[in-house]
Amino acid sequence: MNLNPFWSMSANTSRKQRSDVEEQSGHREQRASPARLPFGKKQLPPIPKNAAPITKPASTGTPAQSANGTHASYGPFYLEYSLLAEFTLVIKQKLPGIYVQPSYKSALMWFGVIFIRHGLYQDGVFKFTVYIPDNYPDGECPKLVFDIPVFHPLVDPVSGELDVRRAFNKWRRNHNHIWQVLMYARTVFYKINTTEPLNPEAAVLYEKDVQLFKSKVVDSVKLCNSHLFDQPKIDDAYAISFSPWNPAVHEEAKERMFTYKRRPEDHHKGTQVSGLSWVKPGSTQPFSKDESPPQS
Amino acid sequence: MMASVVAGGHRKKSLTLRGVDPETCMIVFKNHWAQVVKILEKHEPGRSGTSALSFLSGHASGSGALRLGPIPADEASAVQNYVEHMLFLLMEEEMGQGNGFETQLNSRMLHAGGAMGPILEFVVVEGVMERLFLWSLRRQFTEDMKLEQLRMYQMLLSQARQPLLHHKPVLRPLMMLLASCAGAGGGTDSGGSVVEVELVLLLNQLCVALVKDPSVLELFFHTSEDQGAANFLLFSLLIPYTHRQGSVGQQARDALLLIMSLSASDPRVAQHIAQNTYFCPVLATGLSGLYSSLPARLHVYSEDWHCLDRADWQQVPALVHFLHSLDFCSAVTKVAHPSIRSQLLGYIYNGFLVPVLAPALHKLTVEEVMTTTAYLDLFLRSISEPALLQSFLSFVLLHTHDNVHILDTLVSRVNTPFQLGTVSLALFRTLIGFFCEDVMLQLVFRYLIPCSHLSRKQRSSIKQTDCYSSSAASFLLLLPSWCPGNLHSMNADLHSEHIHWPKGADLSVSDSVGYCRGSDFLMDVNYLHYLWDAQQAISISHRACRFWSSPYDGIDPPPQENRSDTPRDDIEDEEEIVRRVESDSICSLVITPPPSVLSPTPSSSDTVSTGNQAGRAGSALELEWDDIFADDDPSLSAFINTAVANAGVAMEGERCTATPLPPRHIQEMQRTATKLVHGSYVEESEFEDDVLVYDLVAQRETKAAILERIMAANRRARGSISNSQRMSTAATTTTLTSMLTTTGRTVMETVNSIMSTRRMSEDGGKEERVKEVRRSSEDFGRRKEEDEIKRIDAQGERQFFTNGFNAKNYIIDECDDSDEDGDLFNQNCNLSDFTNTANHTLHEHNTHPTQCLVTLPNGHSESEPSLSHPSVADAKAPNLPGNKVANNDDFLSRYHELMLSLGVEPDCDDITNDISTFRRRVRALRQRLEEEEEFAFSSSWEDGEDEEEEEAMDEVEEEEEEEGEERTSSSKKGSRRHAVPFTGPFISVLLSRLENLLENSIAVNLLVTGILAQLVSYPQPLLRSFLLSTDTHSQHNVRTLYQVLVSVHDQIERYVAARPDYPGLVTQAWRFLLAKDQDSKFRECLQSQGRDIILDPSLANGSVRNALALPPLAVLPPCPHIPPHAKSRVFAIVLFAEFLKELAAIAQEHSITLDSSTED
Repeated sequence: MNLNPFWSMSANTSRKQRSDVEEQSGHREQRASPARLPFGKKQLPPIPKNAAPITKPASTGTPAQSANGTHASYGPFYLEYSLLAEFTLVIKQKLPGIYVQPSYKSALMWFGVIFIRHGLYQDGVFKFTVYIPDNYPDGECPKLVFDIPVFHPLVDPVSGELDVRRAFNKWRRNHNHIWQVLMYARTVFYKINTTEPLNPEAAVLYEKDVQLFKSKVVDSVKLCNSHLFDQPKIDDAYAISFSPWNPAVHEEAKERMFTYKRRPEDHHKGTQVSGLSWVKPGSTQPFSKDESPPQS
Repeated sequence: MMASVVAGGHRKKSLTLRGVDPETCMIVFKNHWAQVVKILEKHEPGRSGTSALSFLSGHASGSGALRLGPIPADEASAVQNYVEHMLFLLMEEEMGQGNGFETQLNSRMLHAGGAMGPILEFVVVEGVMERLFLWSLRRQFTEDMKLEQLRMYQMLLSQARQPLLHHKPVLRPLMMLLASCAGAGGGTDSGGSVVEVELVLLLNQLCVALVKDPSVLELFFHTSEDQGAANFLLFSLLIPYTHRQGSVGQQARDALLLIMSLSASDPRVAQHIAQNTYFCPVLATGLSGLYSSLPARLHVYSEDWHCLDRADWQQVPALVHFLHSLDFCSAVTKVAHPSIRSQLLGYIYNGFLVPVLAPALHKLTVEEVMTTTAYLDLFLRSISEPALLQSFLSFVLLHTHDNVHILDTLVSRVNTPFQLGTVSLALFRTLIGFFCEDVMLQLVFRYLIPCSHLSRKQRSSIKQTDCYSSSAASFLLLLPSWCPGNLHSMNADLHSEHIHWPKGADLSVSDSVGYCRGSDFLMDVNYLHYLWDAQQAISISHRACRFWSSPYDGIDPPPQENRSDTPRDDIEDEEEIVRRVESDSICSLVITPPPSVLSPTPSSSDTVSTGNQAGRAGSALELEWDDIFADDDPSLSAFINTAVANAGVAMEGERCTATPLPPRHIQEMQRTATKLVHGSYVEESEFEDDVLVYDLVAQRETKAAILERIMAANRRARGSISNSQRMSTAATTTTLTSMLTTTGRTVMETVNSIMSTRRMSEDGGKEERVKEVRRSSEDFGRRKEEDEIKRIDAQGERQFFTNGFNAKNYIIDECDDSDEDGDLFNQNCNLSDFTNTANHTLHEHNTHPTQCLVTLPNGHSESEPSLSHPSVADAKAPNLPGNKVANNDDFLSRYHELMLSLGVEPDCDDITNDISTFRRRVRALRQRLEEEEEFAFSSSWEDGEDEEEEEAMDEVEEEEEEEGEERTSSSKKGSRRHAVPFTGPFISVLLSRLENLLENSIAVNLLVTGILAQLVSYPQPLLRSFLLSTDTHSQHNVRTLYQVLVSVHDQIERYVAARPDYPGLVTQAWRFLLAKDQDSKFRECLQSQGRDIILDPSLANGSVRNALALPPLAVLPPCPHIPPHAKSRVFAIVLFAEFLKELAAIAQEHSITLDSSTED
C-alpha cells in the first residue's frame, strides 16, 4: 500500500521544470490530474504482495484508545490518512517554490525540492527528503535532510539535515503540520539565523565576513545545481529527478499542463450530475435568482 | 390503389428510371397527365382553377359531388395508374440546372434552392396536385381517399430529390388536405384511426422538412393566411395528439418538438404558439388529466417497497403514459423559446401541481397519500430538464397547501411508521440527490446558517480539517464490541498490525509496501471499498455543488446577518413582531408550564430563567414531536408524554390533584398524539386499520418509566402552579392585563378548538386567531397563568421568539399571514359557550387525561375527535376549507373543457391564468418565506446576551444536577428542551428514525443510512462539521448524528447482552453478506474491465492475479438460518456496523479532499 495518489502523473511530467510558469502549472496539474483514481483501483484487491499471514500476537492488554479513541493508537488507516491529510494541506498551502511528493515505498518519506528565487541563495535548487516519524503525529517533528549539504548555518555540513527542531520544539498535533516544516525550510534561506548553528563556520562567516559567506553560498548553490541531473539519491519510483530540457519529452507534457490549466472543467465533463441552484448569491432564499435561468 | 404504389415505391424506384433521359421522362409525364386530364374533365364539367377553394368554403364540393354521378371504377383506376407513374417521375427528377425552362415562374418561388426540374415546373404550372386533390374530393372524400392523398404526399416528401414545398401549387393542396383531416384528431381517443396514423406521419415529415429548411416556414404561415386561417395549421393539427399514447403520440410529440426547437430561433413561431394556440394549456392540463387516470392506490407487493422503479411503473400503462407526457413537457421546456417555456411552466404549476398534485398529496388515507408521494418521487426522478424541475421543486419547497408548506408535510411524514414513511424517505433521497442548493437550503442549511447549534469554539473550527481521522476513529469505536471488525477486539491486532513502510532510507528491504493487518480480510477489503466510494461520493457532490451561491462554511452566508435583522427594521414592524411574539409565546407557555418551576429558590432571577425554560419547553415539545416513535430511548418517548401531562395538569392544576395515570391512558395519549401529528390527512373512518397499527406501535412503546415520569412531572407542575399563585400577587401592568386576557382566552380557545374542528389550523393561521381573540376578549378574566406571562414579558421574550417561532413555523403550524379567514371558530362563540366548553373539557381532563393531548401542538389542533368523547366530536364545527374564488377566465374555461374532454372532472380551485400571475405568486411565496425567516431570526441576540443565556442555562443545568433521582430523567428532558438551536425538522426526523434502527424495517434503515451518508458527503463545511462532529458536548445539547449513533450502539449492546446467541448469528450473517458483496464486486469489476485489470505494476507477479480469480460461488459462506422475526434486527445490526464504517470512510476522505474549501 503506498501513497502516490497525487503524483502518479506528475512524476512523469515534472522532471525538469525551472521556469516559474511551469512550476505553477505543474502544481495545477497535480490538482487537476485524475488524482486518486489509480489509488482506488490499486487498492481494490488489496492483498499486498507480502501479505504473509501474520500471526496475531496475544492481546497486549487494555485498548490503547482513550475516550476519544485517537490519542495513542492509530490504525494504519489513520496514519495513512493523517499523512494524506498532511499532504493535502501542503498542496492547499501552495508554498512558493516548494514541491514535495511522498515516496512510492513509504508515506513516511517525502521527496522535495525547493527553488530559491531571490536573496543570498537565489537560483538555488535544493533537493531534500522529509522523514516523518512512524508514530506521527505524536512523535518528534519530521526531519528534513538536503541531498547535498547546503552551506547554511542551520544545515548540518555533513548530513545535510536542517535544524527543524528549533522551530518546532515540541511537535503538537493539530497545531503543527508538515507544510510548516517546508515553509520553515524555505524561510531559512531568506532570513538567515545564526544562533546555535549546525554549521558554525557558516554562522561565523555570516556574522564576520558576509562577503566570504556570500561567495561560499554561491559556490554551494553552484555545486547543488551541478548535481541537479544526478540520479536521485534514494532509489524510489517517485523520487524527484531532473533531466535537461528535451522538447521531445517535455514539450508535450508542458502542453498538457497548460491545457489543463485552461480548461479545468473538461476533465470531469459528463462524469456526473451537475448540481442545481436558483439561489441568488448573497441570499438565503430559495429561488431568489431573478427569473432563475436554469443551470445547464 | 395508391396504397400499393406507396408500398412498392422503393422497389420500383430503384428498378426504373436510372439513367433515363430527362426529356423522355418529361414527355412520358405529359402524356400521362393528358390522359388523366381527359378523365378528370369528363367528370368535372365546370372545371376551373378556383374550384378547389370552393371545397374549403364548404358548399360547392358537397353539392357538386352529389350533382355528378359516380365515377366508373375503371376510370378511377386508370387515373390511379397514371398518377402512380407520374409521381415516380416527379420524385426521381433531379433539381433543374438553372437554365432552359426558367421562366417568369421563378418570381413565384420564394426560396427555392435552385431551379425547378421540368416536370416539377409542369406540375406547378398545371396545378397538378390541386387537381388531383379535387379529383379525390370528387370521388367522395372517404377515409380511403384521404389515406391515398396522405400517402402520396408522404412519399413525395420523403423521396423527392428537389424541394417541393416551396411551391404553392404543391403546398396549397397539401394544406387543404391537412385541413380536411383536421377533424380526425378530435374523434376517437384510443388507438387512432388509420388516417390519424398517416396524418401524423405526414405532419412529422413536414416538421422535419421545416427544421431542415426554415424558409419553408414562411410559406406555411403565408398559406395559412391565404386561407383565412390565422393559425399555424401544421402545429394546430398536432396539438390534439400531444397526449396520445403509442407511436402516433410519439410521432406527434417528436414533430411538436421539432417545431419547438424552431421556435427557439424564430420569435414569430414562438409568439404564435404562445399567443394563438392552446399548446401550453393543453400540455399542462393534459398532465392533470393523465394524472387523474393513475391508480389512486398502488398495490404494493412488499413491505420494503419504497419507490416506483422502472420495473414497477412499466407495469402501469397509465403511468407510462403520464411519464411520456411529462417527458415531453421536459423536452419542450428544454428546446422551446423562453416565452413558451415560461408559459408552459406557469401552466404546469398552476394547472397541474397546485390544483391536482397538492390535493393529491393531502388525500384522506395513508395509502393514497403514500401513492401520491411515490408518484411525486417518480416524477422528480423522471424530469431531466432543470427548468421543469425548478417548477416542481418550487412547488415542493414553497407552496403551501392549507397554510402548511408541502415540504413540512412531507418531512413530517418521514416519521410515520407505515409505508408512507418509507416512501417519504425515498422521496427525500431523491431530493437530496439533486444537489440542489435550494432544496438543501430549505431542508438543512437555513437551520445551520445561524450556527446557533455550535459553541463558539466549534464555530471557529467549522472549516478545520480533521487531520488525524479522529471522527472516523470515534465512529469505528461504536462498532458492537463483539463484532469482527470492532476496534476493541482488534486493538491487539492494531499493534501487530503494522505498516510495512520502510523507515527512513532503509529501503533495501523490499520493493513493495503494504500493510499486514491482523484482522478480517473481508472487513478490510470492505472498508477499502467504503473509502473508495466515499471518495467518489465526495468528489461527485463537490463537483455538483460548484455552482452553488455560497460555500456554507459558517462565514458565508454570515451567521450574524441572519440573526440580527430586526434592529434595522423600523419601529412599527418591531412592534408588530413583538406583538406576534407575545401572543405566540403565550400560547406555548400556557400549554406547557415549566417543568422545573419547582426550583429550590424562587427568586425573581430564577423565575426568569425557568420562565424561559418553560417557553422553550413548549416549543421544544413541538420541535420534538418527531420523536414519538423513538421508543428505545426512554427519554425520548417519555418526553412527549411528560410534556403532555404537564400541559394537562397546568390546566386542571388549580382544581384537582393529579391522579396516577393508568397505562391505558398513556397508550391512548400516545396514539392521540401520533394522530395529532400525522393526522392532518387522516379521516377517522378510513383510518381504523391504521389506528390499529398505531396502537400496536404505541403499546410497544409503553413503559413503566413513562408513567413514573409523568407522575413526577405532574407533581412538579402542580408545584409550579401553586408557585405561580404566590407570584401573582405582584403588581401587574395594563399591558400585562391585556396579555393575561389573551392568555385566558387562548386557553379557552385552545380547548374550544379541540372540539370545534380538526381543520382549524388549516382554516386559519393561529396568529390571526390570536389577534381575533385579542380583539374580542377585552373583558375576559384573568387566569392563573398570569405570573408566568409576566415572567415572560419581563425577560423571556427574546428566547420565546426563537422558540415559539421555530416550532410553529417549521413543523406543525404555519403562521403565515393567510388571506383566508382564520377566525371561523371564534366568531360564533360567545363567552359563556367558551366557559362551558372549557369547564366541560377541563373536567374531562380529570378523568381522561387523554384529552390533554389536544392542546399539545399549540395551534395545531387537527386533533382527532376522540371516539370516547362523542360530545366533543359532535361539537365539531363544519369548517370547510374556504373555497377560493375561482376566476372564470379564459384559461379556466379552457381548462374545464380540456379536462372534460379528457373525461375528467376538472378540479378548478386556485388556478391562475398566466405566467405573470404565477411569477407573482412565487414571488409572494418567497417573500412570505423571507418574512418568516426574518421573524425567525429576529431574536438577534448580541453576544453579551448570548453569554447571559448560556449562563442561565448553566444554572439550570446545575440545578438539575442537584435534583433528586426521581427528577433526573425529566430534568434531562428539560435541558434537552433547551435545544432551541434547532437543526431543522429534516435532520431531526432523520435522526429519530435512525435512532429507531433496531425496530425499523430493512428498507427504512437502508434509506435512512443512505440519505445520511449522502448528506455527510456534501462538501459544505456547515453540514459536514455538524454531521461528523463527534463532540459529545455540543452546544445547547443539540442532538448530533454521533449522539444518536451512540444511543443505537447502546441499544444494540443491551439487546444483544440479553441474547447470547446473537453475536454468533449476526457475525455469520455478516460474513455471508460481506462475502456476497465482495463476490459481486469482483464480478462487476472484472466485467467492466474486461478481465484486464492492471492493479499495481509492482504487484503484478501472479499472486494478485490469483487473488483476483473469482471465488467460486461455493466458497461463499452459507447464509445462516435466521429466524424470520429476528431478521430485520440482525440485519439492522449488521447495517449499523457497516454504516459506521461508511461514515468513518467519508470522514477520512473529507480530511484529504483537495476540493474542500481551504483551511484558513
